[in-house]
Amino acid sequence: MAPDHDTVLDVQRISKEFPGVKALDAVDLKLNKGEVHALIGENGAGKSTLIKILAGVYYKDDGEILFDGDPVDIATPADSLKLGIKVVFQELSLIPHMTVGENVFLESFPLKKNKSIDWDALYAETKDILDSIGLDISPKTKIYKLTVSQQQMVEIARALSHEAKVIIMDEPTSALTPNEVEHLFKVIRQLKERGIGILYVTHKLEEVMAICDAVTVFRDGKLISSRNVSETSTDELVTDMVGRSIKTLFPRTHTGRGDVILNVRSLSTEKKLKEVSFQVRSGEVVGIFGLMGAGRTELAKALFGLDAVQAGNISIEGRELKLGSTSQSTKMGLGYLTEDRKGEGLVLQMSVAQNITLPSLEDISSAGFIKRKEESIRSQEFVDVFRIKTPSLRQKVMYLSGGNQQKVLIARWLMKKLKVIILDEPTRGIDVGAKAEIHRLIDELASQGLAVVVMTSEMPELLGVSDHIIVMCEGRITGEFDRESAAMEKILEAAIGQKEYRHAEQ
Amino acid sequence: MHSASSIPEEAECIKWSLAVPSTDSISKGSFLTKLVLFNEIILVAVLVVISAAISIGTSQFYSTTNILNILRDSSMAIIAGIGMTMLLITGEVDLSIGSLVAFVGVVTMDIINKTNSVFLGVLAGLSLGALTGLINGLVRTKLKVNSLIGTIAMMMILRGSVYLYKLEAAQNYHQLSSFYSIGNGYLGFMPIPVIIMVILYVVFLIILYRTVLGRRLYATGGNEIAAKISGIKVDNLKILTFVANSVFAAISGIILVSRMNSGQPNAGVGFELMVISGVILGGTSLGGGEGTLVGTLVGLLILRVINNGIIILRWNQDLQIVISGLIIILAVFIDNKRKVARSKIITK
Repeated sequence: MAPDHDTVLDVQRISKEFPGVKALDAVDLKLNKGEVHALIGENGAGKSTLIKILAGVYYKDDGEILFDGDPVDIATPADSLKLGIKVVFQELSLIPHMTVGENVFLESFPLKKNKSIDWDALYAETKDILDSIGLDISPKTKIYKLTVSQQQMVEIARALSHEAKVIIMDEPTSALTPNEVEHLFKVIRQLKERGIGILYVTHKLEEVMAICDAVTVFRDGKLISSRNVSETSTDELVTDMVGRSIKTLFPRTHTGRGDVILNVRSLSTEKKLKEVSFQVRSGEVVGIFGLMGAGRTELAKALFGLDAVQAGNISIEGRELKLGSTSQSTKMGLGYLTEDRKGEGLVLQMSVAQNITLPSLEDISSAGFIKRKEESIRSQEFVDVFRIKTPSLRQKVMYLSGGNQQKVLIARWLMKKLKVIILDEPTRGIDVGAKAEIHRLIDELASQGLAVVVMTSEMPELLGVSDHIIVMCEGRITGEFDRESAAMEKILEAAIGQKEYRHAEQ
Repeated sequence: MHSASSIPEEAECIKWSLAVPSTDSISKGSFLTKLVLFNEIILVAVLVVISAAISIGTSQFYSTTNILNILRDSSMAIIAGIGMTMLLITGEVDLSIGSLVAFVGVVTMDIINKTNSVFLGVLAGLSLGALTGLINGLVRTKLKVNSLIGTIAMMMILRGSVYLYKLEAAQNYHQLSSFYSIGNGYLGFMPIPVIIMVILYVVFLIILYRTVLGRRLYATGGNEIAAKISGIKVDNLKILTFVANSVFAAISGIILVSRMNSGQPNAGVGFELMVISGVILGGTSLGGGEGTLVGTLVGLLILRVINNGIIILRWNQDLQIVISGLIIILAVFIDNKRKVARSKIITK
């Protein structure tokens, strides 16, 4: 390929595989000097993997990276920084108890001749950089005193102190107010003028239209399209992001709905949720969709009593649920399958049987003594029915595959005989075959008359398993669809907060 | 079966060999690696080797009197060790038990002196233990103070309080033989403290391995959020365990004051560290979710036998502490080795 003088970063056929997942499959991306280039895609499309490869956090399996036309090897974060690539991560990587100046020059403090730190130079230079991006704070301010947007600006100042040629911004507006976003855009335009190439990772299409010159779409680790923003439309981008026929993949056998089981009214939490109301009927699967930070997991945790609720109420079969008590929730017949299987779901050192029976110990014991035979018999039933691959009930659950671990967790709740089950990202990180089995189980749960709530960020899963779809954006419900009326485009519009689709009924 | 599916079975073998060591389980890897996998067996071997070494040094060791002495001497640590094992299993720790032993001793002796009732004295001692455990538990669960810090604070508070309560030792003025016999008496040939220890040990062995409560303790320490999601009242469970742990320490304190025949405000210094070391030596993990009472028994016996050996060999007694320290490092080192070896066999 002929070297292009305007191209600062040229990613060629990069691949990266994790156990069980091809995170990136020979993707290309070309970033020009003074260009703002959007990288978009659904969760799991491979955006983060690419950023981490460029930042030196992961190492590529295959492919080449050209920087200023020369092939380079980015093995460590230091390599990346040395080249002039600066990543502003979503979780900012500043040191809270150090000053702005110390953070800006963290990697290379200016030194005097005697090798002691030249504080005057450090703060003077920091002041200059801050002025150049219009950030009016003292360089001696401690980081923890700043707002998120100011911290983000400090990260950008840090990039400038390194004379970065490429700045990668990962979802930079996710925690900003509209005014702060305006300021960020102003700074981005300044950086452009300096000839810095900016890779702008986002899922907000209106930002792509507002600030970006070019846009690349990833899906399932593959490059789908790369266009100039002026030559495309949001509709086209949405189709590129989702673009596959889905409906037939997840046949739902059961469609009959019974009475309202779960009734949530005006649920609000301090951090995220605002006036969330919905109902779930017996035998119904309600899918809750939202992009990262939309509040899905927060909703699940608030419903189940893991997080504190500020206002609102929840009832199960008409009976009010005491908020903020997980033991009360389980007693009332509410179950929660966490998205963090290992961190919050399984007790890894315990056996398969012990994990399955954990919430049901009272049912398999008498006078406080566990009836071991009954424990074996009852957990063996689930191992057989769910086809959980384990050499024995006594196997420690940590040695099972992700899909089988997930089945253990679902078995746990089925043994408990629930009325409502909340499944948060039930198929995250498990392979395709096991995914299909989990989807069958979800269908099975509904046909047993449970009210099922599925939180998901995967569009095909959402459309496949749900009878009713609720879309969230920034803690609010922004869309409601029936299975028949649901369309990906509308769902995405609601998810990015562009449009609202509310039913009059419900 | 093909190799892929035989891997977890290997793991299964290891687990079962812990309970019933058999030659079937030894299939791959060196003999030494295999041996290292069975923590309790190693510990028993260490105990045997140390005992043998001491008895070569002096014939005194293998006398009935000496062995009963070791058991009597160990019973206080083992009783406290039962509580500490359960507490560590839930992922918490208590450093205040040494100070509690002193405070309970002084209070018990004082109350008996004043009332001439062993029952009231023991009741006061046990209540003080329960109250301390309750406070420790509340500080941990309601004030959310890390138990390492919270119980160091409690250690200071109790030690200060016992001096405020009484600067001098509370001497035995009551001369009630029934109290004296708690620490010094025999039932048949068995010292009474050993009998108390064995009863508590068996009861809690059953509770830990056979009951819902025991299972919940392991689940809480293994994954607190998972336990919560499963409807377990994690906070209440932890408070209960703190209380149990302090009551066990109080029992040790009562035995101690009976043996010494006076309540010393400066008793029990370093007792908490000795108990925790023995428990960890026995394979209980500081991270929670793992641990056995069998390990605790053997671990503490090792420490006490070493102690005994140093005394009867007439070595400098300050060596006790040094050697115990060295043994802890060795124990954790072996434990790490064991974990690595285990994961290697499993992933092979």
